[in-house]
Amino acid sequence: MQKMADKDIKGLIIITTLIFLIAPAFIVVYIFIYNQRKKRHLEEKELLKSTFQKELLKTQIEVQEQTLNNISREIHDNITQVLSFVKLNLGMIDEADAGTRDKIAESRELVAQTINDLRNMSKSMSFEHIARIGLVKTLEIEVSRINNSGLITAGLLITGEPFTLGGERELVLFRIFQEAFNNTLKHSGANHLKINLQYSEQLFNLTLEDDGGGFSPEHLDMAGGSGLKNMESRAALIGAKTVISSSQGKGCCIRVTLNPFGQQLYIDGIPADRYS
Amino acid sequence: MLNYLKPEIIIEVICFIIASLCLLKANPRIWQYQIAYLCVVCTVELTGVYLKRHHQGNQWIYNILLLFEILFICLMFRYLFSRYIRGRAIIICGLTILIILYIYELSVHGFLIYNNITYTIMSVVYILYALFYYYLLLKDESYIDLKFSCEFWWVTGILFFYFGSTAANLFHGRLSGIKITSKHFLPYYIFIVLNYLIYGCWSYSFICKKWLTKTSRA
Repeated sequence: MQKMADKDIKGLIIITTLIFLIAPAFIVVYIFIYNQRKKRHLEEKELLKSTFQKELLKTQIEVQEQTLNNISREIHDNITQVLSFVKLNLGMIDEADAGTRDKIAESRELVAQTINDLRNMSKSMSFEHIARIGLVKTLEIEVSRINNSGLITAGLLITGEPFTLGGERELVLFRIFQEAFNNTLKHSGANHLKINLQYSEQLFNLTLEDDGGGFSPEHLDMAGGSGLKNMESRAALIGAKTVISSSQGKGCCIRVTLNPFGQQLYIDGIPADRYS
Repeated sequence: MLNYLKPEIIIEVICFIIASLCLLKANPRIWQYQIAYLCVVCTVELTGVYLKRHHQGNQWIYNILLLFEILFICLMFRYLFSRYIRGRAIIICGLTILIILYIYELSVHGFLIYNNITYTIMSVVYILYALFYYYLLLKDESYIDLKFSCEFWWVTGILFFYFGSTAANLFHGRLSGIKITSKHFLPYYIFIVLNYLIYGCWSYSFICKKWLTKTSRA
């Protein structure tokens, strides 16, 4: 009887020891499973955060486009009309001496020039106009306007057979061009600006190259919140990549690369409707 | 010399070699102390075998090892906790209990008999530390790939070894009655398995420390 009890206790002790040996394995497995869940949770959180940021950016751009469109209409339908009327009135003044007539002619010319400038500005603001005439034509007009202004010499080079990239994508590319051009005018002190549009089946490239003062790569990192980042964000919105390269005294080159047949347009993958 | 190469010593020596290769320039410095600690372990084990073969008592030398074990592992846990919390108080508390117990046991039965109670309490303290480390790891917001985390595998080795050895120590009297082979009893084989687990985990941890550690912050 005593022997049986001893045997039972021995068995119990062996089982307990085995449990003590195996228990850590269960703990470790649990830790691994929990850690995997934590990873998934963090990934989901990151995704939500990035979705939110992209949605926010998309909304900002939509609001901006809407505002620009409204201003464009206002300029076209109201201000230029009033100025045309002023020009007409000036033309109808007959009773005047030679000096006054010269002044009136000069004023008419100035008003005509203002009307012209306002119309061009209105066009470059209008989404509908850009969508209608396309990126190439818009850039050609813009380059001619830049050259006429005498601020800087711009050249447009198109390689490959141009095709449409879609209204929204062309609008975003044009806004990137405008941002880059503004930066060149304000900061670079460049004399020349080269714009290159490269069309091929695999990719589309928009390259803007100036011969200005440039900036060091550290400045590029520090200027994270400025126009450069804006360009990158806009490009990312249409699935394009932006590479900005520059060094002190060697100008700046901005290259936006896009897969022309990629469907990515905004985070939900659905091309956005018109901004109106 | 070959007579000294018992299975439990072989894995310790291998672990020491891996530590020497991987941790010589490791940062922070606590990882370099690991090499010294493993050197002490190997020396004590080989001396223990030598004394046994010459029919002399070897428990006193394991008492010396116990002191190193208390100090080094507490120090390592302090480093591991410091990544998440200010764990100084927890470590000092455990360390004080163990040192007092160590001195008390020595005063009771002298230096030549092994401090068994200190060892058992130390095992419990280290299990609690290991579980607390896991808690901190899971609570932390950053994600660590555990497959390649040197700290995680180091703690896992500790958990396996001290969890298993607590049971083996508590039931030592009964388990010693179970003869597995003509020479050895069950506890001997349990401790071989535990040795392979801890030094296996530690060796992998050192390899991770040298080549694989990857941490990503959310």
